[in-house]
Amino acid sequence: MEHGAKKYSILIDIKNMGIFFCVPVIIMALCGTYIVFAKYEFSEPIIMLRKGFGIFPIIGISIWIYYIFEDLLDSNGKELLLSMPYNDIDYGLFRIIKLTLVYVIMFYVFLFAILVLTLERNYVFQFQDIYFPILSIFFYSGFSFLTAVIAKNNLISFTVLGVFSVFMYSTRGGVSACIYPFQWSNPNPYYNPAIVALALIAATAALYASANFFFNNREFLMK
Amino acid sequence: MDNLVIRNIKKSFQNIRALNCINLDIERGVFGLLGENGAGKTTLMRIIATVLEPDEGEICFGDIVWCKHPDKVRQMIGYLPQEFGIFKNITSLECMEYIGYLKGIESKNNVREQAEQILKDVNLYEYKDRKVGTFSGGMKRRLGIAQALLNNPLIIIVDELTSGLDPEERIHFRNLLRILGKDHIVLLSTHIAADIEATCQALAVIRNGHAVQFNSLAELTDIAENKVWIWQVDTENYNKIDKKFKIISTKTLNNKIELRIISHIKPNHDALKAQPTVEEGYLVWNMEQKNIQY
Repeated sequence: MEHGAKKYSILIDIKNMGIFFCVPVIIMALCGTYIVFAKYEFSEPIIMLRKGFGIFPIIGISIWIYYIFEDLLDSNGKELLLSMPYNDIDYGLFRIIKLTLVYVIMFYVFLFAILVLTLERNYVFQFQDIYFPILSIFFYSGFSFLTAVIAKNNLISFTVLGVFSVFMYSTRGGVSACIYPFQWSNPNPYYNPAIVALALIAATAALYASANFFFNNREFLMK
Repeated sequence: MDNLVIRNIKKSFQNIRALNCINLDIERGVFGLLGENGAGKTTLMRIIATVLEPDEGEICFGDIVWCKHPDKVRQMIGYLPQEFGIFKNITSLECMEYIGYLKGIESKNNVREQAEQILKDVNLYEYKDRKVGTFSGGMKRRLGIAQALLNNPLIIIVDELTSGLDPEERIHFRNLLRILGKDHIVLLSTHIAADIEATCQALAVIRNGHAVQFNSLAELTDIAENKVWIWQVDTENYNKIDKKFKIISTKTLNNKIELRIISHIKPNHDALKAQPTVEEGYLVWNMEQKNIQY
């Protein structure tokens, strides 16, 4: 059976987010501005980049995820959407992945702009500077998808997100069995980066699968 | 056209039984579901709209069985729930197109064509480029009806049609439902008997999770036959009568008040027998169910 949502542009979802679409963009712009103006405050420029751009711009994906699902999960008219013949995977998981890819592209555009504006700092890149932000953004995308479908309330979702992030950052993922989304910005010296990367990939897959399991249950979403 | 057949539907929420063995056989036309708030109408509507699953029982339309083919069901229904608080940041045309795609309309041109035509039908075309969030309650209701009509569904489910509509819009929508009832099964849930009287050919009354089907409005109004009276009284006598009889409505005349009264006996030799309405039939039925003396 064909489903229209497959063909539907993500642009209308972005438009429907309204002002909340702009919030992560503003966060990235502010973090980027800080890095550009404070470029001589850190002796190692790559540390500056990781610290300045590896926290809020990573978590920012959650704002998009929560608001793309607001109508379906946390609104007065959600039963109308729940009565539609959408394909659960297309309208849930694939929509999230598409949105996350857009976010990743935006993240690297900002990152590239920062590098261009601070070229004189002679960055020494490692391979993990390429893949860790992507993995962390996807991890937060899965985490937000799961909290959104379980909580069905943005206030609760943001609270859980905040508590989780503060706990993770402050403990450096010490009790999370290498599932640590801030390894790029605030690395845990006892963790092997490759193991953290694998743990993040596995955790993200588990988060997406669990979230989609709940997303498939329309009666659960209706409650 | 096949009938929509609802058999032995039961639904509980925790330990509260919302629906208790609902059986209905619904033909093409506008079919009303009448009942008090909390009677179970919305739960039944949600089950028919596939948003909730029944604990027991089944719903069929020809070969299509709700629990076996939910996707097919979703493609043939148009649903307007009580509230339409979504898509605040996009225009009404974009909202229609979005829902059109969700409903499985294939081509972009087809979606646009249908969306524009339906917006014209519900008098929203001039606002097609306005954001849904800026709409009044009545306009949102119209948009809600418009989206329900997308993809020409066989079954249209409308929960509380006239809530939030002004008198002119109410008349417009009642007419629209009557027209739709010629080619579709339209299910209208309401606690306003006048909506049923104005639009429906048949109805079911729901009370405490039980439904009783009436295949014509006359079947319900007949229950109140010889029990509705019109009586013109002086204004000073009104209070005494109010305590003694069940007054349904009042109309102020020059020096008098005209009362419509439900009573199994003639309340006064001046009182005249009246032709009962659906509301009065419903009230008498309800009072008899509750064993209230009148």
